[in-house]
Amino acid sequence: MDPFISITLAVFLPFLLAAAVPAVEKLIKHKVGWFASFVALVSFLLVVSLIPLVMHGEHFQASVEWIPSVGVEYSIYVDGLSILFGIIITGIGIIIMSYSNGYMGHKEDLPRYYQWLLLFMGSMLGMVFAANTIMLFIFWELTSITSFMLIGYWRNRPESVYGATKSLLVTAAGGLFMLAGFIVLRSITGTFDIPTILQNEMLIQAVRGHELFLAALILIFIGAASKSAQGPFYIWLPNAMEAPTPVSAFLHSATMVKAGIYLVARVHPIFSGTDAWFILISGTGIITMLVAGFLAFRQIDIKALLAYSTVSQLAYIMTMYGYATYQEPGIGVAAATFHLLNHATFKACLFLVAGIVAHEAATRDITRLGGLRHEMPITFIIATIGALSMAGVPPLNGFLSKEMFYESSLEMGHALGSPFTFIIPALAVAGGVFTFAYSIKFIAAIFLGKRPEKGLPSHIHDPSFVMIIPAAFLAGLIILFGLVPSIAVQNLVEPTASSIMMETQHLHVKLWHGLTGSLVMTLITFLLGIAVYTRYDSIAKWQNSFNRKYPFISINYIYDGLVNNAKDTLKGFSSFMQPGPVRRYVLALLFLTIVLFAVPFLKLSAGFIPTLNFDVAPYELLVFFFMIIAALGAAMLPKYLPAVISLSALGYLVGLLFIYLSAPDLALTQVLVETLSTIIFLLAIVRIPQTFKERITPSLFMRDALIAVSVASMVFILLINATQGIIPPFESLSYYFIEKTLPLAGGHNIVNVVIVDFRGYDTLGEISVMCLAALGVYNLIHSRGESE
Amino acid sequence: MSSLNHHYPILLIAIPILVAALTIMLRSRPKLQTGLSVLASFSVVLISSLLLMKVWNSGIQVYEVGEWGKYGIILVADLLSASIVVLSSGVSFLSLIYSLDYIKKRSLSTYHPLFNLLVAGLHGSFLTGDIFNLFVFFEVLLLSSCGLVVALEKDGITKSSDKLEATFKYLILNILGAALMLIAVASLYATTGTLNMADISVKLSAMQAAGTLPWHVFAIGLLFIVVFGNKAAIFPLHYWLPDVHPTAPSPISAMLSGVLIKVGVYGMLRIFFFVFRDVLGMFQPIIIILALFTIGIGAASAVAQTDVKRLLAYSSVSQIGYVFLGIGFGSLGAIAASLVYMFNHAIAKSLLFLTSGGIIHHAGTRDMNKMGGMVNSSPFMAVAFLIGAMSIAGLPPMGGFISKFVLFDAGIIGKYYTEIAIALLFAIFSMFYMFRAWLLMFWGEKRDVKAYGEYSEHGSSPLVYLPIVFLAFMVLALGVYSEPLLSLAQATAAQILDPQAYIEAVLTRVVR
Repeated sequence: MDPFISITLAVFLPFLLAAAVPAVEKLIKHKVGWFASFVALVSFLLVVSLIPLVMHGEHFQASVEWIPSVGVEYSIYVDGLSILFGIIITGIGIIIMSYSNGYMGHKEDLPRYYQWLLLFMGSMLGMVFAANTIMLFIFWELTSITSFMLIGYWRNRPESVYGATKSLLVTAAGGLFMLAGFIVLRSITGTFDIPTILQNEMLIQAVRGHELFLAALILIFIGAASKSAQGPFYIWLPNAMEAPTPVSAFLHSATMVKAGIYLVARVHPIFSGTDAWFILISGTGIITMLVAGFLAFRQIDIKALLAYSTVSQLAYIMTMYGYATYQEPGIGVAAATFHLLNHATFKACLFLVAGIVAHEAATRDITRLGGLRHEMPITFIIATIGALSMAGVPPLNGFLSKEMFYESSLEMGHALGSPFTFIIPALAVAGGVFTFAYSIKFIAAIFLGKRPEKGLPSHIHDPSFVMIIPAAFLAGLIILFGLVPSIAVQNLVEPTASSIMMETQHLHVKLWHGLTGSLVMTLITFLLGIAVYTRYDSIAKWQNSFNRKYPFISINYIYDGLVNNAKDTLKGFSSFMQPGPVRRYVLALLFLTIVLFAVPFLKLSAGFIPTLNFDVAPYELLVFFFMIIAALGAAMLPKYLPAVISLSALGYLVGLLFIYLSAPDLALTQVLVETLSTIIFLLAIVRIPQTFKERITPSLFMRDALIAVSVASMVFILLINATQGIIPPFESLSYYFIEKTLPLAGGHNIVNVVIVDFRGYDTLGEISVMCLAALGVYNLIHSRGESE
Repeated sequence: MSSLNHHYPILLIAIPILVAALTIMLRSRPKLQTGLSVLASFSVVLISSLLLMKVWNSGIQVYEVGEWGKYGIILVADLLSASIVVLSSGVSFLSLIYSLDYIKKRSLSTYHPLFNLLVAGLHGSFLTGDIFNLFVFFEVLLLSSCGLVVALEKDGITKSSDKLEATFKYLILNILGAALMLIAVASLYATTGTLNMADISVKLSAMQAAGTLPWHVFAIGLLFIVVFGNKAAIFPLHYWLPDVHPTAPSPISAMLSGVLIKVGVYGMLRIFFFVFRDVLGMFQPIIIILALFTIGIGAASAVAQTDVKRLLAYSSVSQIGYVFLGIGFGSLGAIAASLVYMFNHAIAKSLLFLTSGGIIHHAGTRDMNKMGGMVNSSPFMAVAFLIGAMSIAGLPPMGGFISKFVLFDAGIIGKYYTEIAIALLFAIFSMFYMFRAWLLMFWGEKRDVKAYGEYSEHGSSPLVYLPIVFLAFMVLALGVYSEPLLSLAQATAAQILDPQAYIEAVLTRVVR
């Protein structure tokens, strides 16, 4: 099949068939999970069929037009990296959905559960096969949303809501930064298409030399770090453990949290080899690795322990991708890629074990568990394989990639020179020591030691095959990849590393490769790890007391402070901004008007008042005088009735002015309108108290007076300027009206003809306004009667 | 037929006005009144679509009311006007359908004429080519919306005294705005001797070229910022909105937030990019600053709200800030982004307000703190609200994502880095408040003792859920396949930035 069609099918079949889940559930009831596993299997086969296509570092791209207006295509890109992710996503997907058949009770809302799982799988596949950044972003945010829905699967529990909100806020918001980063990258390169940039050395150099290089890198990395729970963004992952355990195994250990890693690997050729890349990626990685590994000690929920471990392990991978110098831009690429695959196997396996334990023992609290090795022997063996692989014990796959981590740390330290020659490997070992200690704790706390007297169900046993087989399968892979690494290395790791490095890579991974520096580091890790493990409980106790003493030294503290207090803090802000009385709002409007008016007035006005020609007749002055008195009365009289009468007096005086200006018809209109509105006013105020409620203090009065006078002078200045006549060579339209009124419109009175003919349409509008006022009053009276 | 399609612009205004008059007369015949109103609204949707197609295919349409050329009043349908009219007639139609079930029977008799006049006011404002006529239709808009805000819903959750108080504020602030507009229009007329926008534009450009442009033209332009900013509710002119939009009946909230505040956006585009286009540079920084404040204050206030409709209202303030930001950037891409933003916001916010109407009738309150767990009792509203919320939050695959994407794109290309950083920060706020609202209402446990469904008389009515389904579908469709909207917006933006075609279409006509 054409690869383009294969991938499109693999991505969109889960979307389409998710819609069919409720119908299938009607048919086969609780067995619907097997339908979902089947969908995953189909996608898996479609992806696997493309391995030969990219075996030797080749790639494939195809696209169809989608949003040409912004240069975005529906475009897929298949290379080793995307195939590796595709296989992890669909492979773990099959395992998880099969396992869920045993884990999820028949009374659960199964259609919703499997729908979101399938939607997640489709989104994740879409993301890794997307060839352009916008498509990548779209699927990226879809994984955030599906993850949100799955974390909040038990949506009436407050903890689920908290965890879901946190994950969405951190990952989706981080995604927005990433989008900004992509747009910045586009503004430099002129394209959203990733392969176009990857394959064009000139574009890559242009990015590196651009002033926005750092901005693009940081923005994109914020997206990656938030998704992969790195640096301060790790906080969402432990709370995401509120999801059903298969979801945690799938999204929050094997796939979605690796999206950030994917992104880093994807943009590796563009940014790597610069100092900023190493400092940002490896710096964040190393700090996260140590802090999260250390914090895992005080976790008593086995899923929380696994969550911190996941953060720490992802940081390993991140660190290795960050290992790059200008000469050797890919020191850690192969190691990182191999560890990424291995982590997916052993961590998913451990989560499945956690699910089995919680399912059978009805608790995930390590203080209440213990000694289950006799009752659950098979689970015990599987858990031991997974945990030892995580600890880096041979001959399991975790050992191999941990060795490679040490090797690349040595190499990077060497490349950087003193003092990093020592520091970087030492920090790597420290991370390994923590991992070793909590891995052992995981086995010991659940299976070793004595069974607690109380708190556990009396009969605990290994679960049904539905749940044991997926976990056992993963354990088998762990051993297989450990003993015969070439299967994974040749088919998946080499093609991936080749596609990241843009040239064919050959790796030689063997269990025994002599007494090398990395082997020495491993031995040191084991020794120190055992030493730390003996002090495990006292370290955890110290962490707890530290946390009690200084609760504010915690990113969660900041997050909770920001998010929980957001409403209350902003409540104050919002009511400060929106105090209620309309007086303030009027003030704001007028104030803005004055400020805006002041801009050109101060900036441009040269002789702002033109030569004034005060040719005013004395009787006009008299009218003006009365108008001022009336206006002041309307504004200042303490009772409604006199104020209204004063206002209408002002209106009549305007009418008088119109008569002086020889516009008797306008004056008539003015008098009519004024009479009507006065009558309405008087009718309306009959029933309400006659004095104004508000008390006006002198300072309030002064402020309002100042604003009023400012606005009035502003309008005065504007109108005085505007009425200086039309700027030549233009002239008024009135000549046209004078000329045409009689011959074309058949009227003698120009004003009348303008109102009813030239601009009759305006008059229609004004009539509508009158009609509306009447309807409004009618409605008002209506609703009054209703409420009383 | 050729003569009829020439009349499309005026029909879009004449039909609603005529039907408004008829529905007043048919007050005592509710069925006939409703039928007539719905029929008119639907025909207006059809005509507006036809008009847009005609403008798209054969260029700007000019309609002379009374055949007086620029001496009378001219209606002009360019891509901007025609596309906004399609948006407004569509949202109006859906809101009207929704109202039939939502509004109290007794209020409906005056609701129909007011609603039709609101539509006439909208279309009149969007289609006019005359600046004084714009003022007249602003008045129509103002008064008809006041009348509609006080219309009663079936359940009476919002007290009519609250509605009156809000309407009072709305009226006071908007009458002040209208007075300023009148002063601005009069001054412009006194300076240029014409009211025709194309004519004013040409004359101001000529003055600018000849160096005779008086300083007070800038002052007039700034007054227009206040006038349109007041309509669009940008900071610090937004104060009326968070009181009016929540207290209005939900279909009217949808109209107000979905379409009415966009009149301000339309006015900005028309006046600043057309009439004042040669002196635009001076206004842009002011618009950008006001837009950023609007985004921030709207978003921060929205976070603090517990009343679902009030939250949506503040969100509208914040979102309109984004639209203004694009206008302030002023490039082709930025204006196209503003238009896309405006469309997507209109659809998503209408969806959210209509859905919130269903929600508050279901819950019997507007207070989100009293709700919770509604996903079980009202899954339909949960999905509809989520789609709208995702769009406002800018998440794919909803339309709101495309708007944020193109706006940020235009901003970064225009090197407005700080502005985009601020916009991005508050985009996270909008994600937060929308999802917080959704979670408070739909997840968790019910926090108030009263049972749901007591008021749920709308849940099953297709009159309520069909408009919601349609809008939700549109939000999704505009996110998944945004190309038609984007290319329309780009063509529109190109026309806005190069108004020569508009000017020629208007001014080269033979006058009697």
